[in-house]
Amino acid sequence: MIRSAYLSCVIVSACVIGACDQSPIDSRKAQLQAFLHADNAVWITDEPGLLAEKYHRMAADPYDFMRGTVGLFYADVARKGQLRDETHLLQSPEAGKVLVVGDPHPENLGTIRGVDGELSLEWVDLDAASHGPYILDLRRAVLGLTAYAGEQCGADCQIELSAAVASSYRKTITRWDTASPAPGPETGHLVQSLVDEAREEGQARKRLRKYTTIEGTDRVIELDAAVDCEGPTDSSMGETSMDAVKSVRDRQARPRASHREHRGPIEACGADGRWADGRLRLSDAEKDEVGRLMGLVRRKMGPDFRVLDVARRFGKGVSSLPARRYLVLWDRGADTPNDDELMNLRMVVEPPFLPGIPAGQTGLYAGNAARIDQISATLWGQMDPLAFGLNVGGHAFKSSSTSSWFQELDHEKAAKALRKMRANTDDLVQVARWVGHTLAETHSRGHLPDGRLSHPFIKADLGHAPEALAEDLARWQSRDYHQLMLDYDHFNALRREHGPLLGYERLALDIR
Amino acid sequence: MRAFACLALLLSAESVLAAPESTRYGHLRIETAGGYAHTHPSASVEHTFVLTRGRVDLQLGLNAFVSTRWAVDAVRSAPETGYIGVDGESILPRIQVAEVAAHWPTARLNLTMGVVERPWSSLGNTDWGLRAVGATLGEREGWIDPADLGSTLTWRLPQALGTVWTSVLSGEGFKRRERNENKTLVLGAWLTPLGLVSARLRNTFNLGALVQQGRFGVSKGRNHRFSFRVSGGIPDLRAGLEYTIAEGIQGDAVPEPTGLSMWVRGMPYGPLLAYARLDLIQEIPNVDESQRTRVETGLGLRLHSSPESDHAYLLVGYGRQHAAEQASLVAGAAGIDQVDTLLIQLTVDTRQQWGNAP
Repeated sequence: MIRSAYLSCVIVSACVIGACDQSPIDSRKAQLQAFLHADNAVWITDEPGLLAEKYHRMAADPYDFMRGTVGLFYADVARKGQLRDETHLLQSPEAGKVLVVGDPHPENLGTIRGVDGELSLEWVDLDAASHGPYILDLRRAVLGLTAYAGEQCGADCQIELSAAVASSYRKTITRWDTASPAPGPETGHLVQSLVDEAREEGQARKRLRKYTTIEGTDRVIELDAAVDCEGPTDSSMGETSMDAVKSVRDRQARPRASHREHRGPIEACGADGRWADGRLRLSDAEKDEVGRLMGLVRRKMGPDFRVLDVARRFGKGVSSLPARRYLVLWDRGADTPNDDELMNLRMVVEPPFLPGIPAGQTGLYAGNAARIDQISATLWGQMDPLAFGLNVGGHAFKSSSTSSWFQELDHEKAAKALRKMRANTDDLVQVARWVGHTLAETHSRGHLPDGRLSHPFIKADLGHAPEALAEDLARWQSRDYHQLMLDYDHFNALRREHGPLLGYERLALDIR
Repeated sequence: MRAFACLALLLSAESVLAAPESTRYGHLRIETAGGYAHTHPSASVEHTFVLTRGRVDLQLGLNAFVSTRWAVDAVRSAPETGYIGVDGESILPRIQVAEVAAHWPTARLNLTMGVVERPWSSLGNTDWGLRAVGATLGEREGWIDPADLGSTLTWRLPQALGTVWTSVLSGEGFKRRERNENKTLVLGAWLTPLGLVSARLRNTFNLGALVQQGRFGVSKGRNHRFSFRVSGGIPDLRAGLEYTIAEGIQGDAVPEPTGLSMWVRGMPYGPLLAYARLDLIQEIPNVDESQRTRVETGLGLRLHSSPESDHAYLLVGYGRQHAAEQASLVAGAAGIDQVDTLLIQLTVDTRQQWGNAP
């Protein structure tokens, strides 16, 4: 009674002042806008231009939109205000706090070449890794696979993908043993191409040749004059304030001062107007930061570690696109360029909140850098020899090898292979099996916050309801993919209505 | 805004014409509660030492007409969901209240501006009396912030019948800056009807109500609240009940949770303190499977008590939170829907007053 009277009161008064509550579509757009503002607040002051580019990239491709919204995915899982699909798993608290990858989409599945030279398939980006329910990793992986397969995978094909992930995961969990890890599934065209590409291009040092050039007897990083495209100022977005974006552009548009800056700005742009893989000279502040980072890396790499050249890197990644990245050319002190290698340094922000037991998820690691360091050492079967967590000036960075031995699945390459009939839906199913298998292996290597191994608890949880995993994943797949595509449309509408920073331009300027 | 301007004019006129003779006065309150908590299951550390309350509240009156107040609480600089903090994850002082108040004694009016305390939270916490164990329902669920940037006009009713107030606030709470042009309007009342009978009976029966209409965040999601509260008792045994409807949470316009909170506390025997509290939260209207239940009970030993309302006690508390299928963070996950907490806590709540407050 009280509630009805109050609701009538609120509705009448709201309508009187012309502010009737929103339709479901507007509510979802508002949820999206509010979430993206909160999730990307860290970039607003430092890198508004790069954030605009991130949004631009997300708007151009549903897969990239999915990559940029991992936090939204988990927020929706935990959103209590509306009815949600229930799981029949997670019957024990331990199954709800295993070490998980956080964002296991197919482009995060790649090759790692360990210190012994062996290649293995691993979840290469552990930025979102944390403790949480193992089934959320599988749910996110199935959504990623469905987006990866794209329009060329119809309803039946999608069902096959989620079933393949479920069966492969269960099979590997059942067989897994610390002494003898379970054998992987057959590779199929897409996975085999990835491994072959890593071997061929790794031996040819293709990435080193692409990013560097020999000047006299020395190798240096090849720089761009400027990283600038017309992407974020896409005319379809209407007349909106571009001040924030422009300010960053002005900073980036430096005069040509070096003979090494021979690539024109256009070369740094993709054909669709997106910023591509660009490299610029360091500013003074960046030089200072890199100097301190290199001091930390030298301690881990030994005294013969020598830095030959460094550049600021732009245009890589989606979710972490605005993060500061540096490309470092280094060697072990030989006079010839034969021992030269590339290393990537990238800032790492907080992991998304993984819904689980409502008692906080942090406190386990000494900091974000330690989280990255320890989790990669735990979850990877092969360690990237250059993978370190580093902490400088309150910012966490991670280092990694930049080498052609390290390749990731690519949804655009998969789409091309499917279009040209070099791959078919069976190959997509094989990718799904690898996704399930590698997730099972990764989860099994992990542990609970108290140090106990995760594997027995996952195995026991799956044993409670043998068919539940396949059923849950199939149900979630349909709902999550449908929501992803709706959100993708909402996101593009928001960009048109509010501008390249979704209406945050005014607030970004206020901060200054 | 025009009304506020007129009131400011009246206040300044009275303060000048009345030739202030009253001396300065001050009021200091320090609340500290530290303890040990065992939480099972926990996503991180099950056995932890905790600082459940650390707050300093200082009010300085320049004369009978003007005062200023600051309250600073302790907060971990890194959020629960991450690691990025200040000098590690240090606990920092945070401004919770920074308000200037103009008083109009003859009309029993107070006007505050700045980061103002929200009377609904402070009155509720005082009534419940165990803020260090947990805040009142609305504050605890994140539905009603204890303070916000804005202005509050308070009128003390004649014959100590209670207080009514109206606030115009940013709506974002004291932790966030303004993100939209819409302001939050609040009307509140706290009535003590037995004050008419006798001043001694004033707190024997209290009634409160709050209506809030607002918008939150860049997306201007609705952020409406309606709350009703009743409490009463004798000094050694008090009980209360609160019912709150929230429409829109933190910028998300969709959720419409409701909550019912019931509590009783008292000193049944000598220095012993006992309390029990039940919070029932319904996340989705008319969906039984969306209910969350929180039960808390505890027994304490009073270490100090004085007429000036200084309190010190050691308590052992137990709490259980259970979420039905649709209220769990992962819907349907039976293994993660229940959390038990054991708390051992040492608390001091001390106040010091000097000068004569009007």
